[in-house]
Amino acid sequence: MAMRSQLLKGILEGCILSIIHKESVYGYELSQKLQAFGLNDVSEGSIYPILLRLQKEQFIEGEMRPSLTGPKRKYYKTTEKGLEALIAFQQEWNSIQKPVETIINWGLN
Amino acid sequence: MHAKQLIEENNLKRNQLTEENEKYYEDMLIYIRTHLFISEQQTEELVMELLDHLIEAQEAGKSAQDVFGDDPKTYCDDMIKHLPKEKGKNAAVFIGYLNLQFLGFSALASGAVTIIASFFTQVNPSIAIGSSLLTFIIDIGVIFATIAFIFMWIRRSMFKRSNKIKAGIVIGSLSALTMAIFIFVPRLMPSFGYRIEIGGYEYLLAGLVILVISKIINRKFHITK
Repeated sequence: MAMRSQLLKGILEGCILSIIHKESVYGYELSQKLQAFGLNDVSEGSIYPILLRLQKEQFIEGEMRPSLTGPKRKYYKTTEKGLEALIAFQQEWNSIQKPVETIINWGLN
Repeated sequence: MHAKQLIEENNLKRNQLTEENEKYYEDMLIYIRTHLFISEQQTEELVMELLDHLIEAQEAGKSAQDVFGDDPKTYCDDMIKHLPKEKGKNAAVFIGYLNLQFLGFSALASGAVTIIASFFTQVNPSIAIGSSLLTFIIDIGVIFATIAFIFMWIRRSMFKRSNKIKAGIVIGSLSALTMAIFIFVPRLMPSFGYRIEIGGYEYLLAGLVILVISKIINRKFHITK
């Protein structure tokens, strides 16, 4: 699955925002979390363009600090604006998730 | 952490990569760094993040291609477009610093040449301010155009199998052209403007003063440190 289409990008963006909101993580950790949740086909590197975009929109902020294993890492956390965006994403997602599922199942039956 | 420290750390850390991963990573590194108008600080933070990620992924048995995909150019472009631009002030200080360095070393060279020549021939110690200034501005313009061209060219040849002969011809002709401009512009420039007397030792002194000033600016704004 190439994460190129705008739809998938938008969904991945929401997921990343949600993980960062739950706990402050650095890039590699974030990619491992996405995979642990089952998004195995997302290429790991594809999180970086999204992290940059989220920073540009001021939804998240990065901060350099020592990691558990020692070396310094850039940890991300959500901002006030980021939380608003996450809530908006959740509402949008809830409003389309069910209908899309129903339509696809109906069409294929 | 400051950009210069990040660059040094990056140089050290890259040694941990396997040969294949290092090749892939360094292509991305050069491609991203040759985009001159994006913030240096943000650029270095990003390439350090990518390097840290790659090192961890490598320990887990993955290759750079697994992590960053098959199309590094599109991938990098996608990141570069989200990076903030370099602040105008930083760029102005950097360009000013380069100009001072060039002016300082030119003055030292002129001084040395004038002093050595004065042992053998009669040297005319006066220069015309107007034409000298214009020559200097043209030289600066040529230097910046050459640098911009080389960077653009490196960027375009990244991620491709490079042709060494073609590269040699392009770089060679470009250097020859730049040298030709440096030599012929002062000769062809008509002399105009106020004339001042300036001998070899004055040149040396002026050059030293200018270089000291540029050193101070460098220290104050952390340009190369």
